Amino acid sequence: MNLDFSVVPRMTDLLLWGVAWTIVLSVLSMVLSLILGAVFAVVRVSSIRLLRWPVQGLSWVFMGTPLLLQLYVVYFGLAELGLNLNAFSAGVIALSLHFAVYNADIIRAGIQAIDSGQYQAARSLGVSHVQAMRKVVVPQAMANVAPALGNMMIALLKESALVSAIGVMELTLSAQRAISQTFRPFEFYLAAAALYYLLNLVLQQALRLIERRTTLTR
Amino acid sequence: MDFDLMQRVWWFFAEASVATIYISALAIVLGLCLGFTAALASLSRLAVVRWPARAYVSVFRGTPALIQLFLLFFGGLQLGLELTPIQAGIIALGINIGAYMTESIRGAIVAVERGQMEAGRCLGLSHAQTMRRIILPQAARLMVRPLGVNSVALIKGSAIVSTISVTELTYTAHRFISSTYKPFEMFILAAIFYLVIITLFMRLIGWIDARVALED
Amino acid sequence: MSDPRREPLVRIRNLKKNFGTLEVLKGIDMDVHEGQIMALIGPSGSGKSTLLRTINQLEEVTSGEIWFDGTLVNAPLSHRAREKHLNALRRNIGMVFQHFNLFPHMTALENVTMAPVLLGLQTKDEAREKALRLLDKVGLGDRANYYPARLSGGQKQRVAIARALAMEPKMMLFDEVTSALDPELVGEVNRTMKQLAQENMTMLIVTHELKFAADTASHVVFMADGLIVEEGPPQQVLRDPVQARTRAFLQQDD
Repeated sequence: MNLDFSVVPRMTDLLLWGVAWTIVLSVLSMVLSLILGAVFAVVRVSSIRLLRWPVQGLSWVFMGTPLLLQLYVVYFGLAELGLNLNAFSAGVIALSLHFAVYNADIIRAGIQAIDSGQYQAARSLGVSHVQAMRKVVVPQAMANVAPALGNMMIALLKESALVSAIGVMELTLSAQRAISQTFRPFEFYLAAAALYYLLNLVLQQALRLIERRTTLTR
Repeated sequence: MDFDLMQRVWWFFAEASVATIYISALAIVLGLCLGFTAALASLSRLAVVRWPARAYVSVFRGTPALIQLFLLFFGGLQLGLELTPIQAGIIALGINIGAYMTESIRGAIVAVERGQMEAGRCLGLSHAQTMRRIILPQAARLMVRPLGVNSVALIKGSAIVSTISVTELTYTAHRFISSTYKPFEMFILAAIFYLVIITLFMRLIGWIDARVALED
Repeated sequence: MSDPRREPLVRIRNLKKNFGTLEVLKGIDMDVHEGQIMALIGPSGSGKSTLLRTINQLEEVTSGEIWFDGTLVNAPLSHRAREKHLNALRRNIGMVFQHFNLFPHMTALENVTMAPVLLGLQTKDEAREKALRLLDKVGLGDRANYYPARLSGGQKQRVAIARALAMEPKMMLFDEVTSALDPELVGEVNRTMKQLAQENMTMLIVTHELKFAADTASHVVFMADGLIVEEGPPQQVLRDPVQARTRAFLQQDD
């Protein structure tokens, strides 16, 4: 066995730099994907076809093609059309759009799953439409969708590794840099895997805390 | 958009689709085998059997598939494990999706109500007999959809093997970009083939699901 | 009917069962003789279902002894030996559940034939013939090829009874088998059970239907708080109870 893990600590700075950027990239994409997802969801339950159809088409395309390909289209493809994005922006845009489509599906199902009786009960108490949505429907929908959205965020963190393919400096690429200096792929990919696993655990704990606060008494 | 160019090269993409389907199919089969084994193991009453299965699921669902692929291909090479890119791709994808499939299969088995196990055991059937004759036939129907979702994720995820130069759809798009400098057209072409494959596959899953469903 | 000189079919001595810190059974002594129709009544939470389920070991007990047909049911055995022992035991004890637990992926007929064929007790043809006879007996001869989803609750429960009878058990356990049924479907299940009682099947019935217990049972056991409070012939326990606790329960029910 030709293994030497002592090379890993020598690259600590590089790896931690990668971890930091993976966090920045992921958190930014998570926030954007949730906001966009909510917007898409509202559009998809709206009655305006002119708005609904493009979003439906978008979600069909984004759900039916690989994220890697979407990254390439945003980074290389849009450049051909004259839209030059730097790799980081392209990565964030592709990740956000990709996951926004999935989030929208979850949020839409969450809204539709709320018993219409809940809304009617609120209205019969003299509450306005907006208030009924805000005070009665949305809080229940939030509690319903929180676990599924949490799973999406976990997936996003892992899939963020793909942006290394367009040269965004994050954990995977920093591991690759370390490998090109040391020629030790096994040690550094294993180290990267361990760091991703750790990030994943931290995210799961954070989600559990958030879920506990959004979930109603049940 | 250069439609003329797209028309000239589309056949290469059709051929590459076959490679994508081939890789995905083998990885799905590997994933199903691993998934069934690990799901049954994770339900064992013996901790020594349960524990490795749970660890497998946790580790492979907790780290990026891309890293797993690189670890197997490049890391394997370093340790003297010489796999061709396509072998490494199929194995890495299969092991990865197997972890997700484990959860789908386990979930379906657990969802078959506890009363069914009791009823089987009350008739004098053993645990294994009840599992095989009563629980699994019902669970099999429940797992079609979740396993279908896993498989769709795998077909899309198979694009990552392009990073280790396996000639499938995404890699083919890349190759044509370097000769034509038309990234947008080439990626769109690849996307169309993915959409066709995924859409047909989802139809197939829907058809299987409808056929095996029990009326209630 | 029962012959007190013979060994009882089921003999329970000082049986205790805890769920965590909760004591569900606090020391039960009970005999069930061959041919006896015993009704277990009592408020919910009294432990009557748990007691029933300990007899075929769907519930493991904390301490005490359960004997069935001369063998110790809860003998301390290795896991493998215990499994074998239980499979053999359960073939001789039929059980019917509150929620039917029919196998939804099999027809009524397949539900009845599956276990005897799989266990090698009957050939396919024998099992089929016997199952059709049993389904006929419970009044469902014309529903043999129906899947459970297309049967009413009462029909499902009668298939479940036929399924248990196909094993030719020495005894039948009934766990609140009419509780989940719509009121108009209770009668058909009760009639089937009465018919079985007339054929001298040994039956242990957990029920909250006091009228059915009075009509059908040869012996009534009243339980409360994990103990047997009073037992005896139905006329005595249900009409003229000795214990205040029993009287309170019966009055409440009226």
